[in-house]
Amino acid sequence: MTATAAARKVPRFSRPGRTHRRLIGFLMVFAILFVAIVVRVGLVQTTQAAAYISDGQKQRLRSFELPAGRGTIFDRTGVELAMTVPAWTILADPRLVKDGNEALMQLMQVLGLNSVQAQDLANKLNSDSEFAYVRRQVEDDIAEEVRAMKIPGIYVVAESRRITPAENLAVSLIGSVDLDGAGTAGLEKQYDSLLTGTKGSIERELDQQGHSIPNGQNITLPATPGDDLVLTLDSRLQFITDRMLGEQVTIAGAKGGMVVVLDTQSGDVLAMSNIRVDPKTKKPIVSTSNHSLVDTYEPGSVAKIVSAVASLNEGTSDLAKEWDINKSIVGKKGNPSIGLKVDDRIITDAEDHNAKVMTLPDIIAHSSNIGTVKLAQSVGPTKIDEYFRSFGFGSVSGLGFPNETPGILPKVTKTSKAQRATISFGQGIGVTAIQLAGAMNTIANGGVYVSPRLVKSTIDKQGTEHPAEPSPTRRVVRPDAAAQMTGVLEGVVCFGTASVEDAAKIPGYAVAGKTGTAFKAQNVKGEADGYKDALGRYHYIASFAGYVPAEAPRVTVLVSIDEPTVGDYIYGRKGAAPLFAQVAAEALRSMKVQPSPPGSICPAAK
Amino acid sequence: MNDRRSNVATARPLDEPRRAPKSAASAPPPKPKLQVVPAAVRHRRRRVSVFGLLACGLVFVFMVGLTAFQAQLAQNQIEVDAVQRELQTEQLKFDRARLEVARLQAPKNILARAEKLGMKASTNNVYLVPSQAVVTEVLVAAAGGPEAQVTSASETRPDWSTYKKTMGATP
Repeated sequence: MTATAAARKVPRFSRPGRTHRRLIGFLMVFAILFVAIVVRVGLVQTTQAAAYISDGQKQRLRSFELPAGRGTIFDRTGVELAMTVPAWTILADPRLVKDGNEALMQLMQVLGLNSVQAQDLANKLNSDSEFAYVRRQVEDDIAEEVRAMKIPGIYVVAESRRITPAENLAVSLIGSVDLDGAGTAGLEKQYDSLLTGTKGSIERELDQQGHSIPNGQNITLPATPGDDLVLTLDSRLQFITDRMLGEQVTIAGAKGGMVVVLDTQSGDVLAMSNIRVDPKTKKPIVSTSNHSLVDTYEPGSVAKIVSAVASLNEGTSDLAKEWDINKSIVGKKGNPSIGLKVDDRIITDAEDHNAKVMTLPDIIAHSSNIGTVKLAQSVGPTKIDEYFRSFGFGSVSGLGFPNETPGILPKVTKTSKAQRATISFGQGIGVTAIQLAGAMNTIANGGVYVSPRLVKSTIDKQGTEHPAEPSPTRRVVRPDAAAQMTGVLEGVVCFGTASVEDAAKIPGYAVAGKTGTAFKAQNVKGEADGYKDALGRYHYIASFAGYVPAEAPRVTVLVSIDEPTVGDYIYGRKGAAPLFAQVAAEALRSMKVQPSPPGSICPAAK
Repeated sequence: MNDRRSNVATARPLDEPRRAPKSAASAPPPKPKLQVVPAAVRHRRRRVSVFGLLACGLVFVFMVGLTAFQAQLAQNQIEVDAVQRELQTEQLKFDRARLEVARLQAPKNILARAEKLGMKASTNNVYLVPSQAVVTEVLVAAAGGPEAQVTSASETRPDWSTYKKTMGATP
């Protein structure tokens, strides 16, 4: 091989110039790749940036809801009646539950599920859904146990729960909320928008371990708690009232009972007790339904105060005027009943008073139906109707309580003469306990009707207390007429129907009040007498309404016992008056009311 | 393989024809004259080198510092998370304690505890009523002199005897 031939066979890669071209080639390729990468990065960083940021944030961003604390409901002394506390809710993602039966067995033990609940949970866990509640609002220990089990697809999340720390105290007033914290009854419903706060949220970027990513997105929208509600109720007095009413209902063999305690001057509801006898246990229980506001009944003789004070206010009667009861006798031979014939109806008294004439104080003290009809007739039907309405009958009290009823007060133009006669002594109309208490409170307030009030104030997010508007008032009768009526009502306690066994007397205090024993409408088909049941028996409501101290009233109390059955407990003087005295005495003690001046209590009895 | 090596060996330009001796004009240029680098240039180069080294060092320190800062940031974030968790725990405890207080001061609970201690509600209340003279004396003293207006319960209430005298007789 020659040298020239050898030179021609020099490998290509060793030839000068080719390496340079290769390098340029590589550079070109890399440059193209680089440009491609730069273009891609540019696209990613510009036009596609938002989508990638969003995708990235979806992976890292976690959102948490901050529950807004529902406002607390306090009594007038600051005791919590309803409050919201943290609780735990157990959730399931059935798609992620590996072994539904195993998970069910584990949860059954901790949650204490019965067979029905277990079957329900099994159905949930074996479904194809993404979400199911296992148990809502459980206690800490249960939540901790479930958390410790680390069952795939089972989660424990924080939630809030509404609690009434004093259990069923004033439950008929406070009402209730559903599992989502929305008010469904009572004050919880009435003030739902006020009590409900605004939920907040946290958005935070977290790593896989759940730690916050430094400098990551962290947006917190704080929750705004709801306003608090301060009621006019006195929880201590409410509790005592519930207890006493429960005992009285038991003693009287009654179906239930209601007590309303008002601060005379302000109209504040200090206690409102609603007791029913449990049909199963036959024991009295605090009712969840507010019968004092939503149930109507015929008030009976307590309503006579309206007819009496109307006649005093209109000047058709005074305290000394004698009303000729004798002329009303319509009894025939052999029929000793004394009655007043009005249209085709004969009005009689519950007891024969053996009197020919009665003064207004006597009529009220001894609860004469005939006398009351005469007093009302002296005023006239239209005016008496106006008085009844002015005293608060036939319209809601102004509390705004859900489902509060206005009662039944027929228009005067649509009533017969006989109906108007019975209405004058409290039969033939339907009233609520709060209306009856409000009417009595009007006399106690010197003739001024004061609307009852349940909310004393609200407390806003900043903790500032805003007193509620004072109750609206209106003058119904002149002060002197009301004062005269007070004296008349003291007579009921001292000498009248409530004087038996000193039923309504409170040691140290002058008491004014009125008993009432009303028939309870039955309206049985085929029974001409609307007050008789299928067995021909009457059912009663025994009431007593009054205030104390009579000379400067501070507290007004109404007691109504529903369908007492035992002996004289069917009468207001026995069934309701003693309870009035007990409750009023407790209220006086609670309010630190000074006893009446010596010598002012039933002086004529000396 | 061996052939290739032999080819490589023979590829050297051994057989190139001998060239004629180069003339003076085509003689390679004389090598630059070696000389000592001036101090100023030397110093400048050193400064540049030192500056470069310092810059690199600073960049390195900055990078390390940045890393350390990020690490510290991450550590602090973990601590912040821990504090927030602790805050939540304490808030929970507070709410539980509040509930417990509310339950304890519920009348039913107080009654149960009082009865457990053998306590009973009083049924015999004694009211201490000061005489009118004492009341007047206190009010006068409080008002600052005998000229002060004195009101008493008996003065503010109406004369009940007017009404009560009509109730004496049983019909």
